Amino acid sequence: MTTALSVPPIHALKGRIAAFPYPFPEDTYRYSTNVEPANTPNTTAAGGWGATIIDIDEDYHAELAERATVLAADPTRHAVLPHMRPAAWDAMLTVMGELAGAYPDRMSLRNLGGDVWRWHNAILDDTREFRYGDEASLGQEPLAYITTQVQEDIALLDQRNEQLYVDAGVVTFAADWSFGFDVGMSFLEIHGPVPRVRRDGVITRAHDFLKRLQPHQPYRRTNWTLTIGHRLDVSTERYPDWGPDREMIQSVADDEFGRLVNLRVEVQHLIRLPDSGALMFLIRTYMLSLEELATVEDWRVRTAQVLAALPDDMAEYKGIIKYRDRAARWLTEAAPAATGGHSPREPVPGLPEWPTVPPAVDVTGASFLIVSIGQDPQTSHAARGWVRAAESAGPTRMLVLDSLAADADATALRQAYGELRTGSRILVTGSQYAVMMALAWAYDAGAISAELTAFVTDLGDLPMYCAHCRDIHRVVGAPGGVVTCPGCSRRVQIHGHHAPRLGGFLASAAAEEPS
Amino acid sequence: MTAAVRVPGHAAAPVIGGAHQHPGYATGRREMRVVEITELTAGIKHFRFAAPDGSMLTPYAPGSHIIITIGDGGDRRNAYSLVDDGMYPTTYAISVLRRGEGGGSDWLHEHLVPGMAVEIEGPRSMFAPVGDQRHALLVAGGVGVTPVLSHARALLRDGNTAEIVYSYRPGHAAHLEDLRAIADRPGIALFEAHTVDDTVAVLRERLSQQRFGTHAYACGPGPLLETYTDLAAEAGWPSARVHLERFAAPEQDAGEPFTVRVASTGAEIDVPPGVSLLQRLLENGVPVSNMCRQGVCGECRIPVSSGDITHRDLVLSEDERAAGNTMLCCVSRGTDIEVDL
Repeated sequence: MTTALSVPPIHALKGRIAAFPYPFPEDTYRYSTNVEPANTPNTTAAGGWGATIIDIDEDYHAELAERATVLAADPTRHAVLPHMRPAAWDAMLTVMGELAGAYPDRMSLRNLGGDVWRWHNAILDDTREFRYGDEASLGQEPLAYITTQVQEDIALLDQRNEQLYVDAGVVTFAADWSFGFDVGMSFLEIHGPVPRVRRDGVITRAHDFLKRLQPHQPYRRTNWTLTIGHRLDVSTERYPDWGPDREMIQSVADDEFGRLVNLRVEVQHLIRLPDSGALMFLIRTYMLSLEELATVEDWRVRTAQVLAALPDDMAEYKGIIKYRDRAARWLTEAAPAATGGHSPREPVPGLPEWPTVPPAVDVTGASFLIVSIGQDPQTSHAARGWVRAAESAGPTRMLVLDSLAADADATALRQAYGELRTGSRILVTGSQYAVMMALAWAYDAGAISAELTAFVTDLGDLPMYCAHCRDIHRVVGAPGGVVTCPGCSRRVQIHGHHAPRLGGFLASAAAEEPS
Repeated sequence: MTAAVRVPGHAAAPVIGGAHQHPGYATGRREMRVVEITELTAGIKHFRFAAPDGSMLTPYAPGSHIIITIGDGGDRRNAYSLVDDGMYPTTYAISVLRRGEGGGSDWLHEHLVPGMAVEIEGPRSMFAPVGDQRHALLVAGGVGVTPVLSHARALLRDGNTAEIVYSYRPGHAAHLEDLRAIADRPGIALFEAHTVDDTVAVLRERLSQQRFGTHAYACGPGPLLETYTDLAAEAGWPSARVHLERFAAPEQDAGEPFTVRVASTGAEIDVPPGVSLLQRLLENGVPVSNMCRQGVCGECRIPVSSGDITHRDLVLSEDERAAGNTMLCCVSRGTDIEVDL
């Protein structure tokens, strides 16, 4: 194994342990809507944390440098959909205000009159005078700039139609997810694959809570997992770099194990931005190795209990199932090996649910565009049925296309969308690939779900978003399957996780190469 | 239009720092001062409020409102829509039609003078624009123009496109010149209607002509809003694109006062309007673990042995509500309640 695994120097540990946001208030851990008001200090067995929203610690320079490296290598970690530009400015000014409030001796934000502001960061010796809303005056996109000033990752959620959408952000330290893939997805779609939370209602409650969050009432929560090595960027894109560590860690010596395995805690702040109304997620990552954790007796005992009692589905989702038992054992030392129960794997959520017969036309629409893609007789049958029903409700146009892979057909579809008026309905039928792409382009043209109807006549193909070449490709395959990416030729696994607005299933490097 | 009276005291270059931003960015009940009163029409006055020290105020989303305490008692509070774009304001401005029914609008018209202190809460956002809209259709009826003007100013500021329909009685149209000036910008058009028939005709036509991806927003008297939603449905608009605000913003109501008996000690605790049972329990030394304080997390669920509960949380199921033996004391209220603590 050639992967470099860094271990921080021992002298820096004391402050980090005292300030570590230890996440377990009890001996078992289950998903919950564990939100609490921000800005309230929490005491822990070793110290405390949480007095401020933004936290600058001794890793400031190192983590900012790491973020710059990640961004230089992969621009998809930074995205701001066009309608989020005002929110990005709002986020930048809000974070600057937080910094100036929390670190008045080192940070200042001054209004020079009207839209003009002066920002000074004495730690970085960085001064900017900018006109709010004017990117040229700042020199770069505001989210990109402000994430050069804080260790936190930032995601911005737009709220519309009673839903939240992750429509902007700079996320360089993702814990086993792909920001580039999730951009444009709704909060509920993103959390589709998390086990238990749907059944338990945790996500919908969190969703309700976030939607009602008011400006200037910041809240926070913590989330956790285990990470091998002090590796901040464990994104889906970098899986080939860190995935193999999960195998490697099982064979290292005990002392090495305790140094390499980290409890990784995210402190997430949830802030409604005052001007744009967007929701800002600040995600700050802290790591403490098992060795460091064990220096605090309460933490050693409790972490061992939490790891041992964690249900398999949750351990699987967190990606720690292969070594969490050993981590619990390491912490308990003499305790017998915890085995964990074997609950059957639940069916994978996150798959689109296609109807088995063509859905009825929504006759509350004022006009209709019916799109029939491909030669399948079932497809044309469904389209003809829709046309008959729609014509009695309003002006109806039928568009018959061969394949969306052809440029001419793709252009014809986008043009037809561009000619629609609000009040129209779009109905699409064809193979799964064609339908998902046609729906994605409809969203792109401004559609909302209530305006869309779809019928898939062939599940044989699908649009696949490759996390490595970061493009959408048509592949013949199914979620769970392994295919060769048409873009980058890697062997990739298709995950049961799809993004309706992007029109693709997520795929990333297959864990085990077939020999 | 009468002359505006201005009160000096605006800080030229406020510095944010020292104190934490959020407490300084107040939205709770606090004192502000009247800095400007302008008579817009015979019945509509425009009021501007500033912080006592003239400092910058909490920004707000277009369509937000503030809540003003009417009179001295502190128990009558009315919501009024703000008219500016909300971007780092130094004043909050509202335009109020005198209703002549002895209510809050009459009090504002009769009692406010420049320099006077007024208790204000907010801004609160309940009528915000949809961020990814491709275009906006704004509909105002009478003094319902106030949040529409706020939306229009924000769209103008951000360089977005809109159509505005303003239905008013000639001679009684507040902010008409403001809207006409905004409509001078390419991409923004104003349609004026003076009668009910005109309004229906203009609305029907404009609703059929909006580019795909438009969202519509309306504020005005009840009959206008009904016409608007009917015509939008007739034009095939899904309800998710049809937004409206009634004159009286639905506030989380403060609730009636009630008394709670604590079973273990027999103590009787009064819970006044606007104060949660959770807060009163904690003040009286009854420990209750809690987190979100919004009826979402379920942490402050407590057992109830008797009484009628008004559940206002998002956690309990219908069955649990009906059982009546548990409540989330951060939001829910009731009468004759005994808590099993």
